[in-house]
Amino acid sequence: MSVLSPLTGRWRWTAALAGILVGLGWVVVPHLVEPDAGCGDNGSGMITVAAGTDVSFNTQRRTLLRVWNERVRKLNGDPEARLEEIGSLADVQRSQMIGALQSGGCRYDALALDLPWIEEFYRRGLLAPLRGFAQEDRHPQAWQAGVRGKNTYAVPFDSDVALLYYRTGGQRPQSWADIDKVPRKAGYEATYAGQFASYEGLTVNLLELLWSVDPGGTLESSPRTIKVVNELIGRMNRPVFPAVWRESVVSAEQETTEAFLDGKVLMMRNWPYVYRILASQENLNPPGRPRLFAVTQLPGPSVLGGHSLALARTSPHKDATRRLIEFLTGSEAQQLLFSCGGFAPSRIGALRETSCAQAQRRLAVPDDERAAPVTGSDNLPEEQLKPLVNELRKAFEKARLRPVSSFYSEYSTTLQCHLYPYLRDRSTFDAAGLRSLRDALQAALRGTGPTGCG
Amino acid sequence: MLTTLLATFATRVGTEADTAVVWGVFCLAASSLLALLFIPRVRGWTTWVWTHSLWPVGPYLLWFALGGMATSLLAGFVLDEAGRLSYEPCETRIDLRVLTAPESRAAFQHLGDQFADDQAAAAGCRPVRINVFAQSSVSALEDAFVHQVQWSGSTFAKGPAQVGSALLTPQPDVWIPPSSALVDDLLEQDQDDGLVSLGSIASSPLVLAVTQEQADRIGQRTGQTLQEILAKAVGPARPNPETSEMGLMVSYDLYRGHFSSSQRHREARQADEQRLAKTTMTGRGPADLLCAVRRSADASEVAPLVSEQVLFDYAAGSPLGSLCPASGQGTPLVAVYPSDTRALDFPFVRVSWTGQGGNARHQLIDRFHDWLTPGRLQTMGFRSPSGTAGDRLSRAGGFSHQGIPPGSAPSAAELRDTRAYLGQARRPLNTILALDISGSMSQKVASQVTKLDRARILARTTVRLLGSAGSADRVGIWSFPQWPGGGGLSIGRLLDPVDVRGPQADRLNPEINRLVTPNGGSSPLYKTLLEALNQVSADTSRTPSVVVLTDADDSVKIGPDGPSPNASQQWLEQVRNRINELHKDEIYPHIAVLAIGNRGWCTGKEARPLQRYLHCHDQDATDGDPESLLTEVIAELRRG
Repeated sequence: MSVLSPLTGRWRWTAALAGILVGLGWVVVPHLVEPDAGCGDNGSGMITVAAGTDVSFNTQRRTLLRVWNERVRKLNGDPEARLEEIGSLADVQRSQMIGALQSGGCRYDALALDLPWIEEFYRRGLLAPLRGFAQEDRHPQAWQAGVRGKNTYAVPFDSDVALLYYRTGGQRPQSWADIDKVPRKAGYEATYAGQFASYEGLTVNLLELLWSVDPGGTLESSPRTIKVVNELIGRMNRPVFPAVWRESVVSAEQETTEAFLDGKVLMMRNWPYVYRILASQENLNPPGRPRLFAVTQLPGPSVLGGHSLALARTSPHKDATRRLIEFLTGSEAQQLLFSCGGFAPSRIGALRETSCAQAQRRLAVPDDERAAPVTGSDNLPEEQLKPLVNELRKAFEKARLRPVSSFYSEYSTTLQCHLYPYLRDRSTFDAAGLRSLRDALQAALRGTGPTGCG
Repeated sequence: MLTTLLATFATRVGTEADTAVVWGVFCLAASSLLALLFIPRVRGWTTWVWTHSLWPVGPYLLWFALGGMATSLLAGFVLDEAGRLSYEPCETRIDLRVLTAPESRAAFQHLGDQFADDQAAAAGCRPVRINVFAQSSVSALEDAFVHQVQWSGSTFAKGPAQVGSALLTPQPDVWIPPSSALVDDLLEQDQDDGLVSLGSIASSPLVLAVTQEQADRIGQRTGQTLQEILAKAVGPARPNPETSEMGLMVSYDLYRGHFSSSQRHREARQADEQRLAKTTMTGRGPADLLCAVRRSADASEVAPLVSEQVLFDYAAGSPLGSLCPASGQGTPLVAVYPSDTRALDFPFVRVSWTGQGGNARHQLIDRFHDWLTPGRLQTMGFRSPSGTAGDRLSRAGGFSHQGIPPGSAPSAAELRDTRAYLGQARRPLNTILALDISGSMSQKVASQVTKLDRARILARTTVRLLGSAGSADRVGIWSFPQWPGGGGLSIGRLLDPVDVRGPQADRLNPEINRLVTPNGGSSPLYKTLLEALNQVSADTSRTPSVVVLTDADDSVKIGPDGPSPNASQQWLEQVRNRINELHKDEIYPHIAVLAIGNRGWCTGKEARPLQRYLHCHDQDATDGDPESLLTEVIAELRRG
């Protein structure tokens, strides 16, 4: 007897059809519906700010969060905030932020985005608009980098321009020709240290080198690119007292700072926060005597760096996070970041010779924080801040943004993978190399096709 | 493809953890359906059951089940294939975070870039980006995986309150460790189903990397056991098993011949460790070892045990980790293949995180897994999972082109035993960490870091490394001058040596953390050394050692015989005398001084009188990675 016999054809097919529909639903529906991250809260009940390692002097970002937490505890009942520091390398930070957010996760509420990432995060729909913010006295370029149409998606948190630090005693260097001409000095290994390790710093350093000879140029299209790269290699290759420190090819900001501190190089390119580190060293800033280092602008325009704070689309604390961002980017917080932390402020009004103690008082930084053990050089007097303020003002005027593209990170890593081997091995960069670089960078910026890095 | 389908099916039945169960359900459903349709006897039996036990709903249910099962299986296959074809890459660009061992990072990043390029060529856009990063400490990694919430890494405070934490590494979507033993070990410890191994993607045998001259001395390059080879090798060295996964695997192979707790086997393991301890070559990972060989003028007396793939990188002149970031050539080395070691099997592990995931991400992970074919991995010097060499390896010279079956990876229990034996095989240390807290240690050296901050980081790292070593090491914490209070020549015996894995170990880090610098205060370095030597030498079952974290400025005005302009010299003389006395009793204390932010001290006049007895390191106060240095320091202390 057949298993099918107890039923007539009509009922048999009705039952089978029902089975087919259920089976289809069982398989198809989960494919169509992205799983809900299900994180009404991100676990801690706190606002989580994702950022890179706090390199400000005496970790002023952390101080700001502490001030926020004390305020909300006393005043309005908003959630407290915590910082999650994702390493010191930009590529690592970006990778974690994107990875954590793009599947709808709500680990982070606020994101400290490097300026060139804003476009990508915006295009990927990871950001929520920040209503109620206005440009006010914020740097126009940095502000515009976070605006899309009528909405603001990221508000400048700290702004950065590179500066040239040099040991006093020689001439103030104003061009690469000046740097090349610096005579050998006993005990030093080279004249200049830059950041040419294979990371975001390489992209930035190369763009600045190009802009020093071709201010409007792009590495993929400028005819000067070959010359710039080969001159850099030539400066490292100089057998006696190279103009560029060879270890620069494995150096990031920290390593160049150490090289300068240790007396290996006479000059270095670095960010403004390093000024405070140098000023806190007695061998560079002896009490009661003139400083033994000085700061000036780069020979050409600097890349406009810095971070903007954005609100994650999946944040379960949107309103409170907006208020936190308002606090962190406000005038008083910016003054603290500059005066105590050494970060160049995102507000022009904060770029003035206010002492750290004054900035702490204005923000009502808790007493125990202010009473933390400090050395005399922590509190830079106004006259010591003046040269930094002056140079920063001028450098900001000339600074330029990196290419704006939602594929900027590919652009940068493509640049690194094509050019780094030439620098690392100090081999000649030729026209064929440029063609290959050009094709790859254009493909990277368009977001199409292979970049040849595999 | 079948793996992907299985994973899809697994998701539907609600678990990804137990692959065997999923396979069982899958096979049962498929075979039942086929049997029902094509085997008359099964049909007859089923009819009887359905018509007699479930009548009148039985036949309806049967048809319902038939339709459901057939559709599920068919739709699963169709969707799986359709997913590959109709996936909208240009709208859904995904970043995958891939974690691997430091020595494999460059190879997998290269492959990841190739994968991204391949996908871009096929799709006309760039649908994926692979970011490969490494974590150098296997113990930190394991801790983080076992306690996913602790992936957040160390917390930091501002004032009295915690305000955040520093992430250990990005949270990986994919983890490719060198051996599946590590994954099995974690899965046994972890009740979470966050890790799903999709199996081995490559293999690489462990080899002894030696010059041709040394290879000739050893004899046959294949067919000898590891013990036979090591007996003839000069300067065998192993990656540090406390930090490197490969070092741990090498230790397992080393001990495998005497893998029991009997006295005879214990002595054999101790002999192995003593043989390895003789080499002057230390390194955290295999790439560090080969980097040291590349930099050395004479490689004839070193024989690092590394994977064939890392040796391939060396032979190709590729960069070798962070210590040799540039291309370069070293003395040509050849591989000697032990016949009894298990190859590394590189499992591909999918990692899930609460609140993160999504089908597109899962699909892309599977696609990356499928893309990592043996052929592609062979171009980077790996072998296929079954041990077949690729063309590049065969042509590179110095390598065997014959197949080398990887053997089964050690079990989780064997791995745990290896760690325990490692600890037992080495003479434990009785150590005092003496931290200088004099006024000069409050000097800021970079950014937010004072010299004392740096000393604290180094001390905590020492405690962690010793704690993960599995040895019966003891550690104590002292400060000089005394804290709180004190000053002058008093020494703070905050915690005399305790078992670093015992119940009192929890007191070590709090003692380190609570130290602050008083205003001013002298720095009785040599007096501290003297008293610490007396303390640690009392335990004759352990190697006495003192690790001093200081800016190396002995600034005392009172010598052992009272006030004296040469007080420091007098204390120094006392230290030397005491060491000589101990030597007469055949006690050989080891001293390491980490001169923080005081470059040149170790070679300067203060250290010269102690040079014979001292492992001295001028330490950058701003150095970001203390682990490498301390791995070396601990190896020196153990070696003596």
